[in-house]
This record gives sequence, C-alpha cells and structure tokens, in this order.
Amino acid sequence: MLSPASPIYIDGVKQLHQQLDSAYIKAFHIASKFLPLPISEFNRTIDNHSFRIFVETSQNEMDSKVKGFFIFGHFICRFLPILIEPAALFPVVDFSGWDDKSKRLGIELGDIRLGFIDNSVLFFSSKKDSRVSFPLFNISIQDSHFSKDEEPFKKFDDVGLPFYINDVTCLNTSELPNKFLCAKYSLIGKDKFAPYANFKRNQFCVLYAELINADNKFPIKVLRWFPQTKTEVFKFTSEAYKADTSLLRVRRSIIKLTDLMIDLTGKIDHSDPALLSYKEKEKSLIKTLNKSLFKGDTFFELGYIAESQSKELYQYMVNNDSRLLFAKIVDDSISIIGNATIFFNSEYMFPLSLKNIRFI
Amino acid sequence: MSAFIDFFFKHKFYNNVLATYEQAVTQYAKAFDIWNQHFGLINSDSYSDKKKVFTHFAEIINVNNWVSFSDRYLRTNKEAIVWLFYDKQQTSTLPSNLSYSDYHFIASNEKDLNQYIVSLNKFDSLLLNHKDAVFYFLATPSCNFSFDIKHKVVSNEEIILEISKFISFAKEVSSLFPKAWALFSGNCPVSSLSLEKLKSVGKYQFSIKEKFLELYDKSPKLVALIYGAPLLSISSFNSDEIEKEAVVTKLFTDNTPSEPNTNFVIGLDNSDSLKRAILGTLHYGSECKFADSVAISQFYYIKFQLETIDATFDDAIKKVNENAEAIKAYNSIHYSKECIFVGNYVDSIDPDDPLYSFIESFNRLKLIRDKVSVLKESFPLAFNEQFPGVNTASCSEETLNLIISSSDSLKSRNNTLKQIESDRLEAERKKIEHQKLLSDYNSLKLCTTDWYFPNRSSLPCFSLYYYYPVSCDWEATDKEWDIRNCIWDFKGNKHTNLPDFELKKRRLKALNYFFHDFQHVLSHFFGNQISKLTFVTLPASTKMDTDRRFESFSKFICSELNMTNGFDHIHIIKDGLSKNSPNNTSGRSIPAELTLDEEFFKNKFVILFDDVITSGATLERFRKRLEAAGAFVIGAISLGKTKHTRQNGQPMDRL
Repeated sequence: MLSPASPIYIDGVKQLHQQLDSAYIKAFHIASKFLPLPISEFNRTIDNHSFRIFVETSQNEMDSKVKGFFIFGHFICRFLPILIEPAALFPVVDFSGWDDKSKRLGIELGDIRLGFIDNSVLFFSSKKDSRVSFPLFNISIQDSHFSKDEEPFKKFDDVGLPFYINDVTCLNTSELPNKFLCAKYSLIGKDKFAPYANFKRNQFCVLYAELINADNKFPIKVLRWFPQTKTEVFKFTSEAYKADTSLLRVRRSIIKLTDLMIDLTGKIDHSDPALLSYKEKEKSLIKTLNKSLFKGDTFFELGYIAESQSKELYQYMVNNDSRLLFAKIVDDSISIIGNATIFFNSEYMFPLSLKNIRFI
Repeated sequence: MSAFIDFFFKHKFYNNVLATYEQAVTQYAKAFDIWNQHFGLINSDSYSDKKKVFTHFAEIINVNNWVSFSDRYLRTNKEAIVWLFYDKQQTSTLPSNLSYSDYHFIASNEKDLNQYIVSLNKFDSLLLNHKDAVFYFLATPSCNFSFDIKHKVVSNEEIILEISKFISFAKEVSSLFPKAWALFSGNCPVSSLSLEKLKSVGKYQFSIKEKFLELYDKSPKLVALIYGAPLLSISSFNSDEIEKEAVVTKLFTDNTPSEPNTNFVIGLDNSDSLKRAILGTLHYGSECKFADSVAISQFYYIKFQLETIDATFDDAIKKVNENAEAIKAYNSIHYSKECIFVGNYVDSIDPDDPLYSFIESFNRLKLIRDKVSVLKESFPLAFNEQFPGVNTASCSEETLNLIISSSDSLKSRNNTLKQIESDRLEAERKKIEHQKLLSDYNSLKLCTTDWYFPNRSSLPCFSLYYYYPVSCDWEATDKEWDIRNCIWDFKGNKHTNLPDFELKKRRLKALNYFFHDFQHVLSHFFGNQISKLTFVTLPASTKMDTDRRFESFSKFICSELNMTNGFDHIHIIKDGLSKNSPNNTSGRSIPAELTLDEEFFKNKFVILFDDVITSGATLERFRKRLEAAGAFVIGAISLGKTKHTRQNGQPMDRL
C-alpha cells in the first residue's frame, strides 16, 4: 500500500516556526497572568494551537524584522512585543512532492515590504501534517490593514505596558469628597500608550498621582485595570490548587504509559485512546491552571488626565494620602468611583499588587 | 489402748501416724492451725489426736495448697484479692487473719482473680499512658478510683484511646497553632471541649486558620478588603470559610506578576539556514553558495524579485547551472568578467531581463554551432574544401546558416572526396605493401646467396648433409651411415616391413639427430627473419606418406622456430606413384595431384623442405605451383643432398 513520502521542509523554516511556537506558548502564559482571557482563547491556544499577532509596522528595509504584538482574547498586548524574521511568515513548502500548493498559507515578501500587513492582524494556525511532530504554521491576514477608527478594528482592545506602583506606602480610607465623585475628567495621551484601546468590555481604571513628572505639574496617570471578582478568584484559585496536584499525577501517568509503549513496541503510538485521554485531561488541567493565574492585580499605562482638569484633584490626592483612586472610563471620559474602601463591599477583588500598602 | 494396740500390732501404721502428725505440725504448721481452728478436732498431742491428724491429713494438705495460693496472690496481687472480696462478699477490706473459709474462698475463685489482675494492669497502663484521657472520660479530677470506676475505665478502653488521640492532637495543635487553637477552644481547657468538637477540625484547617489569623493581625483592613468585610467570619472553622481563608492566604503569599521582561525575537543568525528559509530552497549551501559578504538584505531582495516574476530560487539554480557558459559569456561582454554574479540568478529567469534574452540567443546560436560542428565532423573533406579556415566556435551566425543550408551538398561532395581519398589511400597502401613485400623478399633472398642451385632448379637450396646412396662404391663411414639412416628413418617408408611403433621410434630418433642442425641453419641464414617464412614441405607421392612424414614434423618445426605452417594449405586430391613403387612402370615418380590454398599462399615467403634433393626438378615444379598461387619461394632446405662422389666434410661444417 502506498503511503506519503516523508516530508521535506527547509531546516531554517523548521527552526523559525519552532521559535514561533515556543514564543506564543510563553507569551500566552504571561498574558494569562495579566489579562482576563475568555475560555475561547484557552481553547484556541491550547487545543487548536493557533494565535494572532497585530503587526504595527514592517518597516522599509529589505531585511528588517516585522514588529508586532501578540493578541490574546481581544487585547493587543503591548507588553508582549515580537520581532519576526520575514522568512518566518512565508508559506511553508513541503518538498517531498505531497504538498498542495493551494493550501499553502503565508505572507509574501512583497506584501510585507509594501506595507500591506501594517496595522493588520496575522493569524497563525497549525499546519497539520501527521507525518511530523514539530510545529509548523499557516499564516493569513485575518483583519487587513485599516485605520483604528474603522469598524473591524473596533472589536479589538489595546493594553499598554504594565505599570507598577512602588512609591505609595499608605492610603487613607476616609470618604472622598463628593465633588470628586461627581466630576468628569478627560483622558489624554492614549495614542501614545494604547491607541486602539476601547472601553466597551471593561471600563475600570486607576488614577495614580505621580510625584515627579517633568512635563506636567499635576500629573495624574490613568492606568487601565481589569478587576477580577472575588468569587472567581476564590473559585479559580481553589480549582487550581486541586488541578496542580492532579496535573502531576496525569503527567506521571503519561510518562508511565509512554515508557511502556516504548518498552513493548519501541515507539509511542500517539493515537492510542488511553494516551489521548490523558492528553485531553492534561490540556483541561492546564487550562484550569492558566485560568487561575489572572487575579486582576496589574495596571497598564493608558494616559493622563488632562492637565487643565487635574490640579484640584491632584492636590487632594497628594495631600490626603490618597494617591490612588479607582475610576471608570467611558468614551475617554473618566469618573471616580472611590478609594480603596470600595472593596469592602465590592464584588471585585482588591488588587494584590497593592497588598503592601498600609491603610489608615 | 488403741495406741498400744497399734504400737504392738500395727507398728508400721503407728509409725506412719506419728510421722504424719510430725509432718503436719512442722511442715504444714500454718495449714494445720487453720484447719484445726476451723474443725477444732485436735486438742492435744495424744495418739488419738495424732491419729485424727493422720486421718485428715489430705484435708490439711488441701488447706496448705489454699494457703500457698492465697499467700502468693497476697504477695503479688493483693489488690486483686481485695477486689475479689469486694466483688463477691461486698467487703471493702481484707480480714487481718484469713480463715479457713477465706482461704477456701480465695482458692476457689482463681479465674476471677486472674481477671481482676488483668483489669487492674490494664487500668494502671491506661492511667499511666493516657491519664488525661482517663480523667476526661471519667469527667472527674479525682484520683481515687474505686473498683467500679476501674472496671468502667477498662471496659471503655477503646473510647479512652480515642479520647487520648484527640487530646494529643489538641495538644499538638495548641502548640503549633496557638492563635487558631485559642479561637477554637475559646481558651477553655481541653477537658471542657466535647469529643465531637475535637473531631470536627483537622490539622490542615488549624494551619490555614493560623496563617489567616497572622495575616489578619498584621493587616486587618487589607484582609477585610480582600475577603470582603461583611463576609469575614474569623471565628468560623466551617470548611467553606477555611477554603476561602486558604485562598486569601495563598493570594498574599503568591507573588503578583512581575514586569514581563520579554522581547520575543524570531530569527536566526546570519546562517545558511536563514538563507535557505529566505530563498525557499533546500539547495542553497550545496548546489549554490554566495560569498559570506553577501548581506541578508540581498537575499531578501532576491526573494522579492522572484516573487515579482512568480519563480522559485530552485528554478534560478537550475537555469544558472544549465547556462553557466552563456552567463559567463554575457558577463564577459558586459562587465569584462567571465564569472557568475549573484544578480544573475534572478536575471536569468526574468523574461524581461537582457540576460534572459542573451541566454536564449546564446543557446540558439550554440545549437546552430553544434549542428555545424557535427557537419564539420561528419563531412570534413567537403567542409574544408568549401569553407576553408572557418572557425565554427567563433564565426558569424550568417556563416553558420550558410553552412547549414549547404549540408546536402557537403554530404554528397564529401562522399565523393572520401571515395577519391579512399582510392588514393588504397593505392598508397598497396604500393607500400608491395614495396614492403619486395623489400622483405630481397632481404630474404639475400639470406640465400650462398646456397647452391640444383641442376634442374633455379631455387637456391641448402642441404644439411651429403647423402651418399648405398650404390656408392666405398665403405661408408659411421657418420655417413648415420646420415643415411637418419634420412631413411625420417622417410619412414612403410614397405620396409617394420611395425609402426618401430618406424615412429626411428623417426623420432632421426628428428632428434638433425633438429639442432636444422634450427642452426635457419638461424644462421635468416636470423630474426625466420618468422617471415612459411614452412612448406614438399608433398610425397601419396597423401598417406605426406601426412606421415610431414604433418607432425611441420607442426613441430613451425612451433619451435616460429614459422608459419603451410602444411594444411596443401591438399592432395589424387595420389601419385613414387619412382620405386611396384606399381610404377614409368621409371620416374608420378607426382600427386594437389590443390593449393591460394588465398593463404598469396604474398607468403615460402621456404621449402624435402628430405633429399637430387636434381631439384620436383622442387622446381612445386615452386612454380606456389609462385603461381602468389607465393614468393625463397629457397629450399633438405636433410640431404644426393652425392655420388665423396665430398670433403659436410655442408654444416661451413657454418
């Protein structure tokens, strides 16, 4: 019976795609800690082995790398930048002769160099080849080059770099004056930090009064915040604890089973039902663990309150040990919801990145 | 009286009575006293009393056993005995002096006694090892334990042990997790806590609670913020609350995600792997490799160009490899460098590039040149005649086309010229051949200048010996007889009536006799020209004689002396008659009729052989036959030359 010839892929291509694979797994793990990712993202990444990258610019030099950011959930993750050798984006060719040219998906160099992928989303999906165990990807433009004001791009959100607050040692828990709770403040500088940020799904932010800023006398930095509910944190953490010990057991079982296969037949039968079952279980446990990583602890750079509006609020924040306030943002308009005391009765988990702060 | 009777008439019995009594009062004194106290039978030491003692001695011994038994227990387990009296007789203390019935009582309750002992030991053990549990169980701090209490304790040993376990646990927990324990116990002693309560919470829960309380002590507000103030129930040990507190504790101890110091870079160093990936080929590095100074950007540029023309680098490699000559020619013309540039790879497959067109025309021209070269090779004579001095590698396309158009005429003209040439060459060859033939002939003839000519032949001859027929009128010498015999034996005539084997033997002897001389003669005269000679023996009158005499002889001589053997090319078709044959009445020999292989003998240099030459007439006739067949007869050699007068020495002596 005829069987397909062994595949022949270019060694450099295999190496580049292996790097892509390792990078996205690592990036996904990081993103799981920082952002509330939907279950579909876990499924896409872990089950389907696919991911997306937002290409900012591919630049003009012939050999310059493509610069982009990983997209997880609907977030363009500015804290997960990636530089890609253009050759890694070319269609992958199997030189054994069994390759179907029409099914090769990749980006031509011309498209890269002429900027057709700038401000586009590239979709990396697993190029299925049962003859190989190393990763290969098909690459396509999921959402093509367009402006951030256009409809397709509005479905994405944008998250700036994480920002860590190290100089706030104590916070006042007394009530905020009402005037601040009723005021509205304008967000500026978003284009610098997260140009595609939209607040449809999440409207929370943190206001942080900086002590030093050469450009602004009353700098109140606006930080994007994705809170997690207490219920979810407790639930996921508890599940993760159990999943952790279960995962160890499952992985031990996989090792035992594969060792037995090798002893008996000299090779691992990846289609063995028992092995597949263990692998499914492993994936499920990994998803559970990954889901538990996010706790809504981190803040991300978003912009500033307009200097013309920030003076009174800034002075109050600095003089009353209230340099951190929590707010909501709608259409670039910010309204304060309170200080740390909101967490006593709130469904949301207090950000643990602030756990070392003393409350007075 | 009975004493006397017993003394005199039952003396032995009398002695036994006395001995028994003695034994009773000494060895069993205590038992005897107790027995006597009970029964009161003995008042004196009279014989009759002694006889009573003798009669009841078994009883006394029994009592003694009771006493021993009881005393033993009194020494080791007095309390058990006390318990026995308490249990059975409801007396709380033992009598100071035990009576007969007391001993009897004790001895008859051994089983119960042992049971009491076990219980007492068990109680002591429980009290020693699980004192707190015992007190907890009894719910009393008192140390006075009645037998009932002891019995109760022992009967509930399992419960006591369980209690003890939880008390140990409580001690451990209170030591390890003081805060949590204080909360749990309400600072009450363990003894005040019910067993259900003690069982309700495990070590894990205490551990979690302890950590949570420590956290809470440090930052109550923060804990409240995280937990949610209304939900916070510090004192609860409920499993759900404990689980939440575990999470809160974990959240506090877990590190919040630190800055992700990652910059993902997908790339390879400036390596052949990267270059292969860029160009999309397996063959870069093996079939094609650029200098290391060629930048990666250049590779991308090549890729870009290939995409523009919808081609692959493998196409380019193939095109360059197949047209290297054309490309070098192009570069030689345009850049004065006969080499292949990096840019040529794409240019060669780009239909819009001048190099592409150049390759096409170069190849087209090359095809024409190849055709013309083929014409030149195939019809060189006509080509050189019609197109003298034309260089097919460098001549113009016009010239090439002209040549192509003349291919038919070239072909026919070449055939003609070829024929002429061929004839010329043939004539030349024949001429040379003829000249050589003549030269060889003259050279061989020179070898025979010293030979003699027989009377009837102009053929130079040499004979090894002088043959004197027997008709000669002198006494032949031994040598002369040897020669005669040699020749006769060589001839080996059948009519001598000798058996065949004898004839063969003599023939061989003859051959041995003259072969050396024969070889010497030929070497002397012809030297290294012997190999040019064809050795032909003169046929005898019959085929039989010819074969017998000369067939193997010819073969042998030619093999030894490196001459060509002509024997097989002479065919006797009809026997003749020898002069001496009885059937021959003519007086002269009638030669055999024969045919010669003319094709074989044409241009052969023949040396004839006969056993004896007399007049040479036979030789001459045969010579003419051979010459008519195209052979050149150089001379003849024989064993003997017939002489009728004695000569000085032998012809061999001259050499």
